[in-house]
Amino acid sequence: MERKAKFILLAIFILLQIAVQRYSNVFRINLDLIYLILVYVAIKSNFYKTLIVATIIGLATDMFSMQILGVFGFARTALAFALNEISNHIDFKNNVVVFLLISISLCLSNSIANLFFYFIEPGFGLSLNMILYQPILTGLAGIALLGNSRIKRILDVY
Amino acid sequence: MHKMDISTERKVVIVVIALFLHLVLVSTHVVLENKRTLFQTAIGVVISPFQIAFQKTVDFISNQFQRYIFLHGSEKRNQELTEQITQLKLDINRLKVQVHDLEFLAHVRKQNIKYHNPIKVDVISIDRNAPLSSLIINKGYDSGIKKDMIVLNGDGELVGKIVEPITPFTAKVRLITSSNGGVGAYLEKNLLEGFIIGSNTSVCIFKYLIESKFVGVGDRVVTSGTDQIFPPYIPIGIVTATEKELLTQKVIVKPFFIEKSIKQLLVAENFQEISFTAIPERPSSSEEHR
Repeated sequence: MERKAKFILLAIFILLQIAVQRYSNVFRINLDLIYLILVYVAIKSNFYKTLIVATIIGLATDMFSMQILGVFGFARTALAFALNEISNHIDFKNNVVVFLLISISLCLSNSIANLFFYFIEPGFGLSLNMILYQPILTGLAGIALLGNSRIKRILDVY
Repeated sequence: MHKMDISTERKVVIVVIALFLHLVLVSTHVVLENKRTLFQTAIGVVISPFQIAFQKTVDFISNQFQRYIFLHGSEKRNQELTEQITQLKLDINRLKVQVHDLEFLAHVRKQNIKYHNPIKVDVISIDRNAPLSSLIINKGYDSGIKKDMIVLNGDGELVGKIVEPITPFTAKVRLITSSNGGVGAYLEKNLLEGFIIGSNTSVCIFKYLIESKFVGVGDRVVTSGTDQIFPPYIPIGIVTATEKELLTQKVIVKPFFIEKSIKQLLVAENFQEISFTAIPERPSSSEEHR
């Protein structure tokens, strides 16, 4: 039952991400719901699985963002490893902590990517959208979608 | 899901490897100013020292093989090159001789005297006992040398005449300073005629000049043509001293050729075939083209 629910949630997240990506210009919303999947995998899975999923998600993000291949892969892998290491010391019952965890980690990950783009891509400056707006919005979306205690129970994050 | 028990060091190493692979992936998309990707440049920087070292090693070994093992043909090659060098040296010497000949002939032409078929000869031997008596030239009757032909230096001044023996490739020249023979001559300024006789020294004696006629030091002496051997007006020498005798006077003449090189000489036909008409001026280059 829980496994089935997890797959449904995964499908919902992917569909939502596609929809957000498609209409991001219209609604001016920039979310990274796939990152929520990565956070979940990082806090719940073992080291190798985290690393593999982070790499896949990072490279997928690179492909979808049409940017230099490997930049988000690097950033997501580094942050997934950090989340995997600190996950044992975090209280996931507290939604504020979850929000901060998602926002700060995404902010750091995007900052690393931004740094790469700054040095590699001519004319690419500091992107507030990447460093600030997207992490906050993604954190809020994470709380909204996963903050419910029932969903937390399904996802086994207590 | 439970977490595997992996040591922190191992995790760090694996993460670093994973991140490094991502960096490699990034570097393949970064194009530098040299139109190459960062990855290609990095690979080049890393590989090139090994490549250079390998290339130098191969070159070194190849050179050693060439120098010490594949030397079986070097002796033959050395012999061929030595022969070539010798041939080239001979060619250089031959060309030098040709240059000297041409220079000599150009000098002769400047003297404004025209000879019929003059033969340019080189002196190959001088009589060691009487150096101012006779000498041997390098051409004989194969080259058209005949007895009694006149011998001049490059300035057209009288040196001597051809005498026996004449071989196919050599001939003997009796100098006007020889004590044998003589030359009919007169003073150029007043045509006072006499007879030049050599003394095997650097001066000649001008005999049979009447005592009453004045002869000055520095007067030029030329051939008279009355001996039927030497044509007239060939410069012989210059008066250096005079001495009064009974009825005649003894005049010392220093031949012109004494103070000049006799390495290269001209042999010309004698009295009958030679003419001393001045060479007409050469037409200018523009006229020649026309």
